[in-house]
Amino acid sequence: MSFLKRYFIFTMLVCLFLTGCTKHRIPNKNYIENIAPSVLFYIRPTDDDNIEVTTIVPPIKKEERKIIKSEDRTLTGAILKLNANYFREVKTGQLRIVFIDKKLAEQGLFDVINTFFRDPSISQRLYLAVVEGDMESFLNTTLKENIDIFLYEKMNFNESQGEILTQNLHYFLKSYYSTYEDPYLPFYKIENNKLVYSGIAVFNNDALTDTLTLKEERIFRLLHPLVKYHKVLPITICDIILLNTKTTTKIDFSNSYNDVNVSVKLSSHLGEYKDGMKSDIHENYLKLEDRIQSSLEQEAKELVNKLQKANSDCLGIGRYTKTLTQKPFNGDTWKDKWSSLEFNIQFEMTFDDLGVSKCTKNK
Amino acid sequence: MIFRRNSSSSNKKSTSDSVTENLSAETIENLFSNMADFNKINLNTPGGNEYTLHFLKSLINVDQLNLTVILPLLHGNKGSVPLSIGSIEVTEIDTLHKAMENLLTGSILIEDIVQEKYWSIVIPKDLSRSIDTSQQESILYGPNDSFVEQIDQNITLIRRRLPIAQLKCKDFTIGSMSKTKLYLIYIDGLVDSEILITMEEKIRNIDYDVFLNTSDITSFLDDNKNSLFPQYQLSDRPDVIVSALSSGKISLILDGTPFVIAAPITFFELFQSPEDYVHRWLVGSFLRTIRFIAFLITLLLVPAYVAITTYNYEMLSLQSLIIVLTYRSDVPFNPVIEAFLMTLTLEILKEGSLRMPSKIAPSLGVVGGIVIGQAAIDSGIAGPVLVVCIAISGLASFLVPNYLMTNSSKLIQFIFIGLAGLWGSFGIILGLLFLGIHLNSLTSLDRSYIAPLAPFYSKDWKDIIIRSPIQYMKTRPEYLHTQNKNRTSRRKENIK
Repeated sequence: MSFLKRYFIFTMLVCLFLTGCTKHRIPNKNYIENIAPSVLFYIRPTDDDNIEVTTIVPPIKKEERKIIKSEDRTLTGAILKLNANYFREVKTGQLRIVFIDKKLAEQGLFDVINTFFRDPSISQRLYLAVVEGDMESFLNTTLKENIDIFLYEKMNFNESQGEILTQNLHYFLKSYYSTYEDPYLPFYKIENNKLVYSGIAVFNNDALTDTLTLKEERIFRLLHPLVKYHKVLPITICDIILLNTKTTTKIDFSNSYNDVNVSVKLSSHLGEYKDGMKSDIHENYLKLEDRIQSSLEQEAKELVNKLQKANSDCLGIGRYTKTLTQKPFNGDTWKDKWSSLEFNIQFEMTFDDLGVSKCTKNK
Repeated sequence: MIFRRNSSSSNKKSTSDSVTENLSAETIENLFSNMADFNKINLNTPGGNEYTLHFLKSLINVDQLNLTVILPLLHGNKGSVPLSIGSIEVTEIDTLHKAMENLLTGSILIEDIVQEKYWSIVIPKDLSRSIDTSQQESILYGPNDSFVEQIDQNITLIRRRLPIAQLKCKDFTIGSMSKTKLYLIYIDGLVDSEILITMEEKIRNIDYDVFLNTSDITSFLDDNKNSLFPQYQLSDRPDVIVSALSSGKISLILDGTPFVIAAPITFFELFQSPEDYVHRWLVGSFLRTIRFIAFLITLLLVPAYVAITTYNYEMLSLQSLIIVLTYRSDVPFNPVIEAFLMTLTLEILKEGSLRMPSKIAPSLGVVGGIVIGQAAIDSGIAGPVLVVCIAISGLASFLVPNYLMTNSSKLIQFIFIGLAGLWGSFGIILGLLFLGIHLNSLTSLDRSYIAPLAPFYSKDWKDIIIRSPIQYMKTRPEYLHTQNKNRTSRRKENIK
């Protein structure tokens, strides 16, 4: 009996210390049938400088889905007010996508991002995106199609193998806190009540400074030192589609760090070539390579100029100033240097595979 | 009545007093009065000797009595009983206590009236069943014989597999009423003497009246009586016991039960099956790994469901959450009660099918399971996700070869469900921590229960989760501290 008594007292003591004698120390009960876990948030600023949060509830198929929204001075306040609009408690533990209005992104995202980051129930793999246009009406029309879950699955797929750029909370914050790079987010537009992927929103610190078009987005990916594989790469100037492109990027700074040489080696398969029927690609491929190179170099220079004007190093070129022993820039000094950097960009293009030779029917 | 009534002193005077009396035909008859199977035969031999044979007909082999005792006594004229009966060992009895003990364990008592001496001859009735296939630990490929209730037959099964002189067998008699024979078996020169001494001491300290089953002794031998984990291995397979003996363990065989104890054991050994060694080593290792995973599933799957649906909804993937959410919204109970109810139902079904007649048990179990499961979902008492979880954890619990462990794991599962209901995933982690601490504190014959892990014995890991090829397992388990560590015969010190 003494054994049982000892264990009982021990267990009671453990329970006492764990709960701290108070109910509030125990984690809150979230019976899943009583809560409404939100998957998608759309955040926009209101005219009176408040934050408005819009979400779709509930994810249960049986109940009628509807859009609820609320506004407050703070994001947390707005999320809490959502509960007043719905009979279940709106929870953020399953939040997967946050669409941020372009206007709010231009004002600066730190407060919003910080709120999401500090909530332990929200995953770091929360997809972030900037949107321009009437998102609310888009959500309203697509409500019954489970648009929130559909968008999450679409982004989840594109993160690993798709052609649409995605960015999550973790990588956004990593770039934000880094001295040598700036964050970027995918940029969507609402056109004819449809959500259209339109390029990249580039940030200086936490504020959106410019957006890149879809054409620029492709060059951005080519230049990005960490993106080494492109499944499909359209070269619009000569109507060519390159497949399975592998890139090797080399970045060298001059001793004074005033000039930077960026050389990108591309090796790819020729996928589709509109003029292929007219000219024998096997004879003219060297010329084609030169044409692609010069076209890419021109576009890359324009892109870099745009990024320099936006004062945003979202390509992360600054990382390459660091060596094992040296760290020449600290704090904001890299930012000052970025806009005045002289870029020398070179592309070296080679075809791995040209496909079949002249079409036999023409002979 | 508040106080228990003391039995009167006159009632207390019973057999224990009478055994102190002198040994005589009259006292024996008094002692065995009102016993229908007690027999007495008077023999007057042509040589002028007079004998009286006392025996319990139900305990002795009557055919053998005629052939080996009565006939030699009638025809022999050697003067004394031992000389007349040459083929069987004859013991002289001088006290009434010994006479009674012998009579009750299948001996006959011969009273030599002329010489006024008493002799005892052991001719017990052979009540053994034939050697059958093991029902509890059946395997597909491998020896199929199993132990029986007859202790000597069990020894034979072991000796046939280990024909060495070093296989020693010490006998004990336990139980003040049952007088059950207990054999302590070990390989001399191999087993750690410390283990042997500890076990002998534990056996000598056993004080109880009746021993009918091996588990009755284990409760006396356990280092921690309140633990949920079995601290001794019970097996009815001779190959398992021989394997244990050859690795330096000791074994206990109790008369009247086919289950033999092997000791000491570790937690990991409870997951080993003789079939692991039949398969290719990679397949064996794979199966063993599955068993460990299945044990974790048994403990944690249903509690994880409770934790996720009660507290940690954010831990589930979105698609799975939608499924759980859709079905949970129809269930009237909260997840803890839902899980308790359904787990309890499964246990009732399991226990019921065990107690039912063997011919209808499987079909009724299956039908009951399907009908109750489906009806529970249809009526909204339980969600289908939980029913699937419970079915998987129920199946997983049977992957552990040790049935005692299976039942222990089910009880631990209930505790974990309670913890998950109280504190969610934090409660489960807390439970796992306590489980780890408890396992670490356990010992089997003073040897650590989680031995190759703590204390860490690197060589023993060849046969814990991974079952490496037998050629590589050249040494005996280090935690047993065997006198001879090597299994290969090339080493000089090995047993020949």
